[in-house]
Amino acid sequence: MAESGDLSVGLLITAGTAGMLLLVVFIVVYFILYQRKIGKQREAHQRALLEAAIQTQEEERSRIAADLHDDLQQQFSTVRMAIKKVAEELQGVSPLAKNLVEASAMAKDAIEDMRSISYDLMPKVLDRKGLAKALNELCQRLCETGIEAQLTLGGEYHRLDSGTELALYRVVQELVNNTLKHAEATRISMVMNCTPASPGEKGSLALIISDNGKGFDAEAKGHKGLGMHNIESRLSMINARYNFESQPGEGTSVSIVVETINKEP
Amino acid sequence: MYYFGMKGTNNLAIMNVFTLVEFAFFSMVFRKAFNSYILRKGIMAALICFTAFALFNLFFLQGMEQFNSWSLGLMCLLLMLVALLFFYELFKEGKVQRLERHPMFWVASGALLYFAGNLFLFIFSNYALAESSNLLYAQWSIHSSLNIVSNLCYATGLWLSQGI
Repeated sequence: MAESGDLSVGLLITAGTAGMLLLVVFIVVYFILYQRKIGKQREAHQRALLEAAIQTQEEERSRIAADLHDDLQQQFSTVRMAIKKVAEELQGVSPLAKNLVEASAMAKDAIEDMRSISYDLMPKVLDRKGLAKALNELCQRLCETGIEAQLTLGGEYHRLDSGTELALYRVVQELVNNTLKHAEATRISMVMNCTPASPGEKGSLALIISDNGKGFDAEAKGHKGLGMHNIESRLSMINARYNFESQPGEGTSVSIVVETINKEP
Repeated sequence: MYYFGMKGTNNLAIMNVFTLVEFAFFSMVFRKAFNSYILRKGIMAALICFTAFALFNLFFLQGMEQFNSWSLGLMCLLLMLVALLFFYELFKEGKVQRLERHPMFWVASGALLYFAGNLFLFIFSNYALAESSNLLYAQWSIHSSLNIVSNLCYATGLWLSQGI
């Protein structure tokens, strides 16, 4: 009799304990999995918001660049030609001719500025000829400002999808801006190495931007500027891996690797 | 407890008083972790009610020298509920990205594991003791294992809280 009671109480405790433990494990595992699912959904939502924000920004830039190029620039050119014509007619007749020549020169400068702003906002070469040409042109423009800049191309370059090309171009533009603003560099080097995609296999594009500026402590946890946030947002949007290497006095090197799919011809 | 045990003196009074301290400690830890005002007030109310019941049980019902299974059982149920409410709050707020880096997640998991796993043992301990002490030894070894696992969880929680 005692044995049967012994067994029943023992069985009750053992079964109860096992049941409760199973329940706890189920609850904790369910909680972890559900939290992960929610986290992924939130991440996807944030990504979609970011993509929409960047797309809107690019569309607006493109519109402003087109307006500047097609509308304002043409109007300024017409005004400049008119001023020039009047200046020629008044040459030797009125002292105002000198002022008109100056006005014409100012109009020419304004047109140049507009062209430059329009280019920065949306470089047409990027859309027409691709990232390699656009970076090459960026280097030429840097050389015109007195910075020694060069692009080295390795591998076989194929056009990428426009979103990836634009994101990479904007990142390089932001990095170059940072270098010009803060690094006091005299030399900027860009190295682009491409491995084209083959059937069933993705390609990759590696980009290294380095300068000989004053550098910074890349390990220090400081406040990130808006430019750095933009860089990280754009790179995360195209699933790129990136690495900043810098030490005070030793320049900065940024490497970016992105998986690529060739653009449909 | 060990000293009285070795002397053959009934040491359950210490265990029964420890129950009060243990519940108060866990209540305070969870109270600090909750963001909801209502839940914090609820924990305080539960603490007062539980203390009153456990003291009444200690002096008038099961007594000092008997294992206070009702108090322990109630403590297990209340702390399981509190741990589940903590999970629910964490779940509802959705602020935590990586659960395994959240110290209180480990504390709540450890508490849930320990109190849920020992609920039946605590409630039926007096019956098991009356039947056979061998059976009780076997069941308490499960308790010891769960105790080790839950303490490891608390230690992980404490370790992670250093970075906060």
